[in-house]
Amino acid sequence: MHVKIVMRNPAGVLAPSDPLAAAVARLAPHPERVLVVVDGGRVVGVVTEAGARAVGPSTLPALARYEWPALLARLTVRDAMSPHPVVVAPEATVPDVARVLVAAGQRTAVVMDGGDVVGIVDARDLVRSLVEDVQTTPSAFGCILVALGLPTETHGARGLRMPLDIALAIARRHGARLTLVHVMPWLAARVAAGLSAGAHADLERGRLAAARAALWPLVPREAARAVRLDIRTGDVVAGIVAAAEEAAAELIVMGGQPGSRLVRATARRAPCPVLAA
Amino acid sequence: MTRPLARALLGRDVATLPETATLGEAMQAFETTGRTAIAVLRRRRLCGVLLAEDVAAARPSACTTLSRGEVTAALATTPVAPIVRRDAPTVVPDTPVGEVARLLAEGAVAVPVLAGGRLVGLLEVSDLLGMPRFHASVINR
Repeated sequence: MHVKIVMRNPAGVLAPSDPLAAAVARLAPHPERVLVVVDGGRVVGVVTEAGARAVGPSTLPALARYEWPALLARLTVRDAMSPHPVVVAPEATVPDVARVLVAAGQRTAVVMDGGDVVGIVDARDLVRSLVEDVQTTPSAFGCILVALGLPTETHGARGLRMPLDIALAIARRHGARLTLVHVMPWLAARVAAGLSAGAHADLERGRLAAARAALWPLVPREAARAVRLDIRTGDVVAGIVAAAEEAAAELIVMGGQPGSRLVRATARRAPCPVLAA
Repeated sequence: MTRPLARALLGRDVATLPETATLGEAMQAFETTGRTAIAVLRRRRLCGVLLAEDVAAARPSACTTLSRGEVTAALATTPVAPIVRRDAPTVVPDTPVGEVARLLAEGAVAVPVLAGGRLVGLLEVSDLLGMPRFHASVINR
């Protein structure tokens, strides 16, 4: 990225002999900005708000009362400016300017095109541009799948919280979608698919509704919009793997020890990495 | 998937001052360390950050009516406590560098790094700019 993309307008251009009060007045509305000091058409320094404060009266009342106002009024831009500023071209790259500033031990560079001052850039502008780069880089994870059992009578939802919280945190960090999958081995496939399933259908539909009712409350309300609940039937490992494939999941998070039979079997067949929590 | 973490920037000893330090002691600490920010401790716990620019603004200016001896005495007795910035956000060593960059870009003056509540570093904008191959390291997550 070129520095001309991240540079800002200076707060103004002053001469070294101008009164410091003029610089303070220009910087007051925009303390983060910088004044460029030009003498005979040549850039000779920059004045920052910190530089102006450093030569002004003490900011501590106990010491400020000993300052002599008549002398303060005689201070000029020259007294507050940082001389020999770093000067760069608009086409210089952000990393190049960062290196030059570090080598010079300075925080601000003046951007000049030919003999004209066209902007200033300081260290914070450079860091800000890098943060914007990070934010516009696509997320590493677009979809995460978390495989959960049901809360038990003895332990409640304790064993489910850890994998779900980890999956939610990763999804939040990456702006990823989250699919919460639960496999009920004994549920009739037709019930899981929402189809009529014979004499036991009502009973099984009740079990399906109970599973949904047990899992949804685990999802924080603010995260619910990015979470999809997928309840399946059949073999647990096959169900998790199929759900991951259909959702194009890039990570599976599941409860249990990494060495457990279920985790190992899932990891062997999964289309993406498996995180056991 | 590997992203640089804040711990990668914790190369040098972190400069500290007690909350009871004076302006004179702070000026000497900044001169010795070459840093622009120093962590301030109370009973060995972080209580704020002191900036070189705030110390420069607090000391008597060239327009003071105090004599040289009186300035020396004032620097030796005036505490830095009123100018310590106590709102600095903190991170842990495992915080991604990108997050530290975001805090600094949004206006944090310096970012203390705490491990188990213990101060292990103090990161400034210059630490990020000085990072080897900084640009590529931050954006290649």
